[in-house]
Amino acid sequence: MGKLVYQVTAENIGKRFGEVILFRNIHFSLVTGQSMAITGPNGSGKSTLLSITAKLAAPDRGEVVYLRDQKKIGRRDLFSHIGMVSPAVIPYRELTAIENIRFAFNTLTPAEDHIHDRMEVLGLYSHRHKPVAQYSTGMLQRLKLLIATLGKPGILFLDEPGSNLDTTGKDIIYTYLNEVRPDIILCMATNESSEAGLCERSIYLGTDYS
Amino acid sequence: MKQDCVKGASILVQTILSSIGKDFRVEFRGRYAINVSVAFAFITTLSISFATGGTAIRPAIQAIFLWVILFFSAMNSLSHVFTREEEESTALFLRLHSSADTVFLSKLLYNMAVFMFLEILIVPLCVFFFSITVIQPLQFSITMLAGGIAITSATTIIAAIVSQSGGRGSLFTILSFPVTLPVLWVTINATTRSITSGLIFSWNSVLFLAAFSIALLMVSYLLFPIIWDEG
Repeated sequence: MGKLVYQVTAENIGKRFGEVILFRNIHFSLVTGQSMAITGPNGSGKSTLLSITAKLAAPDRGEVVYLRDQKKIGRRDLFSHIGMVSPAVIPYRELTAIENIRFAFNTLTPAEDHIHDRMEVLGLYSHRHKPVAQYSTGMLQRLKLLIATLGKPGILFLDEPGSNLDTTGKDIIYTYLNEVRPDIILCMATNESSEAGLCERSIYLGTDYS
Repeated sequence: MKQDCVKGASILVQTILSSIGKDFRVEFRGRYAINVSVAFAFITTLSISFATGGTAIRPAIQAIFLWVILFFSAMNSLSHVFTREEEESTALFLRLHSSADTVFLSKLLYNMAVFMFLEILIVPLCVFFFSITVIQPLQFSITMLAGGIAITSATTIIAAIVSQSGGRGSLFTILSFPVTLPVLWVTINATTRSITSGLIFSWNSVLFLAAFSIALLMVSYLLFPIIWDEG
């Protein structure tokens, strides 16, 4: 069986907050194996565009369409195909890392050995039974990445993935992204040129519409 | 085909149980909402008991006190199941990893369990401090159960709506009161009959509570994905 081919197409996306037009007429199309960085200054709408693309927020104009092997994916099924790392996606602070993973994947929880291997790589193994409330911001970022990627999603959305990470943490993430990039669609909002450089295409948001 | 249905139902049940387990773990490791509810119930019951100071209270008033204490004690815990997700910014994590059906059913069952837990604590307390004599224990127990289910059926969807707004806790009680007023009216009446000697218990009250719960659950189940997905 061949690998699944995903396609995400954004058509004429526009968003405004009151009188301020954040962005408009955004078009792009990505298929499995392609990656795109959304860059721009603070407040230019990078995270908003990422959320709209992931269908976690609604645009004022346009639409985002998802296909898997040429078949449309409905919004309700979409979340089982995507992984997301974002400051807005926060695991339960009262639960441990393992409990958060078991909750997130439930009946599809990967084998214990696989989880432990991934935790080892991300430097979280010795902290697996600690409540997330006791994690540092860097550890929390690694946990978010672990949860977003553990289910091997076909589409990965990353919002400032390197934020709060030390050099080792960033290296782990960049190595991982280079490994999985040929098999997924990668869409990233970032201000870091090293992160944007991991993607083959980019959109710059920054035009003043006011 | 039948096997697929059984497998699908089994996965749904497992997912719901996992979600309820998560809510209980999160709640009982913090215990904020439950503690506030229990403290409210104790303080109110003791205050009324001291205020009445041994005066004989009529069964109708006993039933009113019992349900008013139960209702307002539960308000904080019942809304917390959704508002906590927004306040602690875990709503998006939940949305990414659970379907709307699972979220609604698990939160509903969690709220029912919390209400039953509060009833188990509050009812004996009220029976003791207000000197309630339960004349028809079966009818009394069924009224408590049916009333609890009706209140949680009505308030779970309101909690979901309120969690999307800024007002949160106070707004929840204000919005819930008119919706649950018919339930309180009927449960107080039925409770009065089960604790008053010489009055005949009307099973129509239980039938009304069951019909009210089913109707609200059906509407809530259909509407919840719109509230949850568009939130």
